[in-house]
Amino acid sequence: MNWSTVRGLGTGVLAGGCAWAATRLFVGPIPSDTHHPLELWGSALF
Amino acid sequence: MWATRATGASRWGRLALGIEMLFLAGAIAWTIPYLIDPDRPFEGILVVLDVVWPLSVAWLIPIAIVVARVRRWPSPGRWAPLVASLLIPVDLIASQADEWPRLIVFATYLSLSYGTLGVLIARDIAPLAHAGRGLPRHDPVPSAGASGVAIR
Repeated sequence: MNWSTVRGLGTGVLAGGCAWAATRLFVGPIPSDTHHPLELWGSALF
Repeated sequence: MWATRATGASRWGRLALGIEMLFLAGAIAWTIPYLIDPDRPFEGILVVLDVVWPLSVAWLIPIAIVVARVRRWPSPGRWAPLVASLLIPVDLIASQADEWPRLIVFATYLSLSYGTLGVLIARDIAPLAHAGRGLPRHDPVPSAGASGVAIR
């Protein structure tokens, strides 16, 4: 695995973490055992 | 971690990462059906895969401890996985509070810990993958510029 690929993965970790955090805040509290589509996409990006 | 042998070159080190990859594959397999249909019934294989999600996060803790102990990643990068892996314990502690404070703690910790980890991987760890398969334990770690060339 070359340098640019690992650098891209690092950027992905940064972007994914921020994306999931943003969707969690946007959706707000949800009951346990339920799923909100946007939050699911956020966690999937992460 | 695999590219830089962050958990060491031993069989145990590779096995630990291999187990994490299996957990992550299961977690992704759980997510995909719910992306298509969020109201999908919680049954069958999804019940099994649902257990894999927290396991994939919990297994990061021993892996992160190994990464810190093996010292193939330069500091502070080698501590960043450990900080990030504590997301679930932090969330459990925050669950004692109301929903919104818990959510804010979770989102803040998530974005800061994994954001920092991502920056450190891109800045400090990527040159190790470029240089080869990571550095031997206790070797001095050169800092690297954007070109990946070591700067002394």
